[in-house]
Amino acid sequence: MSVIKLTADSGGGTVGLKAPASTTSNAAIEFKLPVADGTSGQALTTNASGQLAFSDTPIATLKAWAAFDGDGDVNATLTGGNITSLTDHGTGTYTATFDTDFSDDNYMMNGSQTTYGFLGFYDEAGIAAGSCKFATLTDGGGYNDPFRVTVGWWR
Amino acid sequence: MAANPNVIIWTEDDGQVSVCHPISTYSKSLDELAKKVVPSGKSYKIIKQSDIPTDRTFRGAWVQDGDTAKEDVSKAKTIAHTTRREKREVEFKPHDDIIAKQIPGKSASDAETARATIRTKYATMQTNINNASDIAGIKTALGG
Repeated sequence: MSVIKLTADSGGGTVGLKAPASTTSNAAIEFKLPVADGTSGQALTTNASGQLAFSDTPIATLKAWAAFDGDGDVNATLTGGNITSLTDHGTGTYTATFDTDFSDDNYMMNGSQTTYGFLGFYDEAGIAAGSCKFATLTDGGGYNDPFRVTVGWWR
Repeated sequence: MAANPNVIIWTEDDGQVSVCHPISTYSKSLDELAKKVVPSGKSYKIIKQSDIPTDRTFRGAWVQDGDTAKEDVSKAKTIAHTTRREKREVEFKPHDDIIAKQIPGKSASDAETARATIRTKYATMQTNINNASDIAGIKTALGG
């Protein structure tokens, strides 16, 4: 396995770039470096032809999501990412518990439901780093159990 | 991955039963999950998913009963009466508008007759809800 080793200016330590054990279809992969440095916070991305470039990173990424049927069997229909569970507190009132907690409660939540209504935070106390209590409501403001609910949390 | 056959239930301060459904990929024990989801100081039960009601019509009437969650008939009647009043209001509205706004070409007398019919219909429904002895009877009284 080939390694390019760069020796630190002092102390004798090294930094290496190591090739994988094998490439897909044993292809000869080449990465071409950008012609200039990027700006602070940018990341290296590829154009899928081996040309690397510095690109902006997303200002927020999806950290957790859940999808389920609100009007029936939540247990059988619950899917998601980075959640341990969904707690049903009553008509249109739920708490998603995150598997890996957020660093704090400053996150964004957005979601959809399959009736004429909306989805939002239940109350201030329900917004926590480790879980989020939310509600599904009709246009008139009453809690409802929509057929399908999808909700995500970004940070 | 198949859904977990079990859920965690506990009773909130307002009497509502909360039901925690673990996602199918959750790999730890439900007692471990309970440490994270059940409010401090609350006792909980791990029960079969099949031991909670499947009909959510009276979700607000669910109560914890040992190792099951079931619908409380008295609470279900309270919910049913709220639903009855909402339905009656919807049916009253067009006739109320005719009477209140005195819409030209519309008979206030006919509107009042229609209101009387609606009143009778919902008075009967009220009696039937009160007389129902189980959840099925309440649903039938509501026309469901």
